[in-house]
Order: sequence, then structure tokens, then C-alpha cells
Amino acid sequence: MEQFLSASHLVFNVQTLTTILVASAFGLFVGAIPGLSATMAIALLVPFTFYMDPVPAIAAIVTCSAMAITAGDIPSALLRIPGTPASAAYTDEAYAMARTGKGGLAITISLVSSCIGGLFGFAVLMFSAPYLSKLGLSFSSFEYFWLTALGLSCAVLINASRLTKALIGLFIGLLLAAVGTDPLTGTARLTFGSTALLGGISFIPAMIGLFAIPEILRNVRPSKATTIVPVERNPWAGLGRILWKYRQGLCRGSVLGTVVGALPGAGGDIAAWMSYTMSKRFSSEPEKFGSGHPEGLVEAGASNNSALSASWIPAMVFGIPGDTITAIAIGVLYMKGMNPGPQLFTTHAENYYAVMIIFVIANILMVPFGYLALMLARQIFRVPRPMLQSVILVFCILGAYSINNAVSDIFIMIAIGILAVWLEANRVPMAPIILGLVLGPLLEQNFLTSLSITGGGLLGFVERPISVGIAIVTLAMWSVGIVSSLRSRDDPYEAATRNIGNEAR
Amino acid sequence: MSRRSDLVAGAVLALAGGFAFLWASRLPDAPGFAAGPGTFPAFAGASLCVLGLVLCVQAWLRPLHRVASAGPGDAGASSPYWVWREALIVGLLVAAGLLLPYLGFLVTSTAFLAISLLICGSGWIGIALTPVISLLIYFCFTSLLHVSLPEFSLKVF
Repeated sequence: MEQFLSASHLVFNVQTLTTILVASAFGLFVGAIPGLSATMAIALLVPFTFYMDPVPAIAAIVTCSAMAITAGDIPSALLRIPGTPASAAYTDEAYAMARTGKGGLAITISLVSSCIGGLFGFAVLMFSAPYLSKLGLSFSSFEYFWLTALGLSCAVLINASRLTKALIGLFIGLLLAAVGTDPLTGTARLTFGSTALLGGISFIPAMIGLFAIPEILRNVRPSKATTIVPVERNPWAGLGRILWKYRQGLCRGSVLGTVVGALPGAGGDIAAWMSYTMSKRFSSEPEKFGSGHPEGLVEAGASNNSALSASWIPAMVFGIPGDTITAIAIGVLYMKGMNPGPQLFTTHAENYYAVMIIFVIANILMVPFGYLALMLARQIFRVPRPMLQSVILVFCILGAYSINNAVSDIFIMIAIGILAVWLEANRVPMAPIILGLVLGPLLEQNFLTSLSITGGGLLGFVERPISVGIAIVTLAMWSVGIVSSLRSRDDPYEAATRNIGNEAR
Repeated sequence: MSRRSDLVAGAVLALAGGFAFLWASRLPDAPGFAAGPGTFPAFAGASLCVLGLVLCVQAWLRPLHRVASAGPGDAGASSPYWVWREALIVGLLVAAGLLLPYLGFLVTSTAFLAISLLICGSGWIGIALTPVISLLIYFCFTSLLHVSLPEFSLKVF
């Protein structure tokens, strides 16, 4: 109780609450702009968090990501352009509703479902994390090695239809993570004689390069002329009846999203696709899907935000990110000295509870703020794109520069940005790269520590019961992943998310 | 994705991975440790090299009908006009990075904004507003976030 009160003091102060409001507005704005993703919003926000206390910094990330994903539903419904990849699953459905004069209702369904799903994911996180952390306290370097390997495996295997490219992304991330001075001997690795690289590739320039630069360059191309579908006067009319009617789907979406989100490497995008497909499969009226039927919206809307909350479970408990957003958040946590992992619950429990309170605030604020964004949608869509892109680019330069006051970081950002553009053009997924970059040092450190303990033998890696268990799960996932990779050559999720950038043009 | 682009990507990645492997495997061993500083990057480099080769083989073996079914993401990507615009933006970023320490933030960002707005096809009103936008950003960073930004320096001239 004492810790909870301390957590309340950390949240309910002017700095944190102002940060929540500003980050919410920023997240809503970026999410509502077609073609700009929630991950890019977070990558641009990170340099600002550098100058904040730990709790406001995390508050900014949590609220911004939740708002951006929710706001992504607005251009989905009104323009038929998904604001974020998570909205792509039900864009056609929402737009079909809008064409029948129920665009506002489609958005309020998404808002309230997202809020419920997000709160469900939060509840699971709140109650499961302390128990999992107790288990985590008994972990040694062997368990952490396997857990990190499991996290990286999930990030790769989630892209079963392009396994080779996902693996390529992972090893690029691991190589980028290896740049700099070796922690064991102080030897310079892959620095090519550059002193700027001795400290390794700075996290923030890398994030901006990976996520912001490709999106801006993609959006340099002109967008096609779009017509905004008008919104009805009262978008709340009939909402309660629909949510009650599809309450089963709402629960199913929340549970599925939580499960998918808790898997390292998966995230709201995949959860939304799985939920929409499942909703259609279990529906008593599957023939109505695609013609403006709200059932899929309820389930997928709940799913993408519950996944967002649940992705914090492996992130907070073990320091293994659940998706790209939590991967960035973990970097921020380390930067702030609030290292994620089981110790967080014993040494900084008030910080954990503070993050929990922020989750509740963010999910509740989602409804009024989302409604506000809906009312302002017309104005948001009219923001001149060239101006927006140019200003974002200036923020990219400033964000990369201001962390170490080093021009070299700007060039690191540009180099990684060019690499990301090339990799995206060759359809190499970004998630394994970022997870490799974040988890690479952890994997190497635990591997070397374990190897020192065993005196160079590999059998020691599978001698402890929990490490054997995680190793078996990892290997089983690889077996399933390889089989499904051989069966499926292309998946609808990938095909649709690939379209987002094009539709936004 | 076309067969040719996968072949090129695979070859480039195999070369990059091979280079990283060779570089890392030349690093000195750590006395008393089972693995040296080069073990991990050498493993990652070798894996990347192998995967690059696998990508080449997969592209080579891909049936022709799959080659024709390039994803919608490729549509228009080959338009040289837009590729040039993107290249100009990248060049502008590099120029901004080079000039920032000498011209300072205000001059560099104003010039950057104006040129990028021209490249992106903005109207003259937007371009005329660039000094105001630069000043606003400068104020946010220096006064609110207390970040010290580079000032104009005559040393270079």
C-alpha cells in the first residue's frame, strides 16, 4: 500500500500529468495522419524523454503509443487509409460502415473496445507480473540466455512466410549491437577505426533511423486524392447496444490480444489480424463481414490495445520486449537507470505501480481524446504534408544530435535510415532488427557468463530445469515455425500492411 | 519482390556478413575466457553470410510465375522521379549534418526546411514561414528542454 501511495505521488504531479496530456495529443495527431505509425511517433518522442524523470518518460511512451494506435482507426474509417498497421485489419469494414453514414459509430466502437481491451491487458499485466517476477528472481544467466533466445525466436518466427528475411533482419540487429567496445576485454569491435563508434551505436539515432527516416521518405511521394466521409451528428448512438450484443467477441479479442501481446516479437498489428479473422470464423453472420458489420471492429479493436498492454509483461518482468514499441521503451528504461527485470519489483516497486497507474489513465483518456480527434479529423487531414515531413526531419536531426551533442550521431541515423529503406524495399521486417539491437548485448553477456561458468561446455546450458524448459519451448517453436514457413508462402497480414504505405501515397 | 532484387540483396548481405565475419575473427582472444570479443560478431557475420547465400538460392530457384506476382509495394517504386526526390532528401540530411556545427541550428534548419519544402512540393507561404518554425523549434529545445544547440560560428570562414 505504501508503495502504491508513492507511485500515486510519482504520477499525480504537474510534470507527469502534463507529459501525459502532451504525449496523448502528439500520439493522436501522428496516429491520425495516414502513413505515420505509432512506432515512428515513439521514436520521435524518445529524445524528449531523455530530459525527463523516469516515470514521466515512460508515461509519455505508454500514452503516446496507446493514443497513436487508437487514432489510427480514424483515417481507416473516414478515408479508407489505415493510420497505423494495427488498423489495417478492419479498415474496409470501418470504411464500409462510414459509407452507410455510421463512420462516427465505427470509430467510437473502436475507441471503447480499445479502452476495454487495454484495461483487460493492464489487469493481466498488473496481476501476473509480480508472480512472474518471483519466478524470475531464481533465474541465472542460463535461463536469461534461453529467454533472450526465445524472445528473438518469436520475433523471427512471427514472420513465418519470410523466414529467411526475418533471420537476416535479426542478424543485422545483432551485428549492429556488437559494434563498439567489447565489455569483457575493451577491444574495439566493428568500429573501422572510428572513435565515434567506440561507444557503440547510440540507441536513439538508431531508432530514428530505423523507423522515422523510411516513413518520411515513403511519404515524400504524393498522396492520392481522398474524400473524407462525413461523420454523423451523434457517433455514440447505438454503441452500448452493439457492445452488449458482441460482448463475447469483446472478451475473446481482449484475451487473444493479451496472449499474442505477451509473446515477445508479436504486437497489436498481428493481434488485430488474428482477432478479425477469428471474429469472422465464430460469427453467426459471417456473410455480413466486409459490408460494414461492427462485430469484427469490436473484437479486433479490443485485441490491438490489449496486446499493447500485454506486451509490457515480458518487457517489465524479464526485460524482453514484446514488440517494437516496448523494445524502444526498454531502451528508455535502461537510459533512466530503471532497469527492467524481476529486481524492478523488489528495488523499485513504486516505479512499477506508477507505470500501472499510467496504463489506466492512458486507456481511460483514450475515449474522450479519441472523440476529440474525431471531431478535429478534418483539420488534421488538412495539415500540409510537405510541411509536416520537413518539420519531422528537423526533429529527426535534433533528436539524433541532442543525446550526445554529437554530429556523428546524425550520420549514424542517416546511415541506419538508408539501410532501413533498402531493407524495407527488399521486404526485410524491421521488428527482428530492433529486437536484435536491444537484446543482442543481453544475449551475448548471458552466453559468455554461462560459458565461463561451464568452463566452455555447452551441456551446462541445459542442466537446470527451467533452462531446459525454455530451451524445449524455443526449439518447439522453431519446429512449428519452419513447418508453417514451408506451408505458407505469403500471408494476408503482410500483404495488407505492405499496402499501407502505398494507400497513403 | 523480384528475383533480381532478391539476388542482389542476397549477394550484398552475404558479402557484408562475410566481411564482418573476417573482421571479427581477426580480433585477439581473451586469455582465460572460453570465448573472445570476436566470437559473437563472428557468429552473427557468418550467419548473415549464409542467409544471404540462402536468399540468393531461393531467388534463383523461385518459379517464374512467382516472379511475375510482385507485391503491390513495388508498384511505382521504380519511378525515377520519386527515387531522385528521396535521394535529394537524404543528401539534404547529410548536408545538414555537415553544416550544423558551422552554420548553427537556426541557419541550418531554416535552409533545410526551405529546401526540403521545395523538394516536397510546398507552396511559397510554407517556405516563407521556415524562419519562424526554426525559431519555434530552437526555443522549445533551448528554453524548455535546456538542450544546447550549435550556434553560428565564423571559425570556418
